Amino acid sequence: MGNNNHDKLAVISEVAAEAAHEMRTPLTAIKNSIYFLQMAGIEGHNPKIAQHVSLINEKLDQCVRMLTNLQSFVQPTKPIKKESKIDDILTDSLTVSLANSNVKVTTEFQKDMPLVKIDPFQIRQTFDNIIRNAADSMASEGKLAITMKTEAGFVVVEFKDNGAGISPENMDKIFLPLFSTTPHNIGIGLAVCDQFVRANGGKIEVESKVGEGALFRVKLPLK
Amino acid sequence: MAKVLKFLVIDDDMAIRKTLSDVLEAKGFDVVSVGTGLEAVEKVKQETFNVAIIDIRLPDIKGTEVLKQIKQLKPQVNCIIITAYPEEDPGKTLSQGASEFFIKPIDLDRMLNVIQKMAGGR
Repeated sequence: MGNNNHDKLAVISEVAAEAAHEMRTPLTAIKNSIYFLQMAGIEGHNPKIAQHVSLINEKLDQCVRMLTNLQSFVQPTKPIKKESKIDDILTDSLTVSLANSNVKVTTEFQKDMPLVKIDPFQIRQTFDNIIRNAADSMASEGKLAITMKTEAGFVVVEFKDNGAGISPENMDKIFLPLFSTTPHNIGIGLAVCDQFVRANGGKIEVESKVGEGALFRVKLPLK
Repeated sequence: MAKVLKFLVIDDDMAIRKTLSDVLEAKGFDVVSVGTGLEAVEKVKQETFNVAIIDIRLPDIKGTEVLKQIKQLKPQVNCIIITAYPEEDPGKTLSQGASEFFIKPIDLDRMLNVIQKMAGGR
C-alpha cells in the first residue's frame, strides 16, 4: 500500500513536471507574438490596446512563474554551482520581477561583493519569488528595502517590505508547500525558495509583525 | 552598408518558428527556419548563416548534436540554445560551443541585445 502510494505520487509528479514543460512551448509562441505586435506598433492605434497588451504580458509572466515553481517543486534538481556575481543576479531579478509594478525599491549593496559559488538559476528564482511575494503583500504605497553584505562567512541579502506582515500563527507555515495567504497563489514559491537556499548550503530567516511588513533574510555561504 | 545577419531558427514547434522569425525579420535580419535537426544540418551545409537558434529537444536528433555538427561544419556560426527545460545545465552547451542559453519563454529583449553584440563583434 505504502509503495503503491509512493508510485502514484511519483507518477503525479512526473505528469505535473511534463505538463509544465509542455506548456512552456505555447507560452513562448504567445510571448513572441505579443512582442511582435508591440514592435509593429499595434498599441499606437488605441491607448486601451496598450493596457490590454501589458495585462496579457503580466498574466503570462505570472503563469511562467507558477510553472517554474511547479517544475522546481515536483522535480527538484541538484544545484549546478558556479562562481556567480550575486549582485548582478539580484539586480536582474529586481528589473524583471517588478516590471509594471509601483513598488518603490531602495538598495544598499556592499561594494566589491565577492563571487559566490551557487546555482545562479536557483538563486535567481529564489530572489524572484521573495520579491514577487513582497510586492503581492503590499498595497499601492509599497516600499521594498534590499541590502546585501558579507557577514561571518555568508553573503546576507535582506528584503524588508512594508506589507501586511505575517501573523505569529502563520510564521511556522510560510515555507510549507500549498500554504498561502494571498488569492491566486498556489503557495509553493516560498517552499521552493527554502528548498533552493538549503540545496545551496544556505538558509532563509524571516521576521515579521502584523501590520509592520516582513523581513526575509537569505544567507548563502561564501565558500 | 553593413551586411544583414542571417539566422537559422531550429524548433519543432511551428508557432515558435513563425513568431521568432517574424520578430527577427522585423528587426531587419534574414531568417530561415526548419523543424528538425537533420534539416538544420543540411541547411548549414548549403547556406551561410551568422547565427543559429537551436531548440535543445528536437524530434530527430538532439539539439546538442545539431550544435556539435554546426560547429564542426562552420565554426564561425554563433549558436544560441533555447529550451523549455529550466533544469538543463547551461554550462554543458556553452562548453560545447554555444554562445548563449535561453529558457523558454525567451526573454527577447535580452536575446536581441546578445544578437546586437554579435553583430557588433563581426
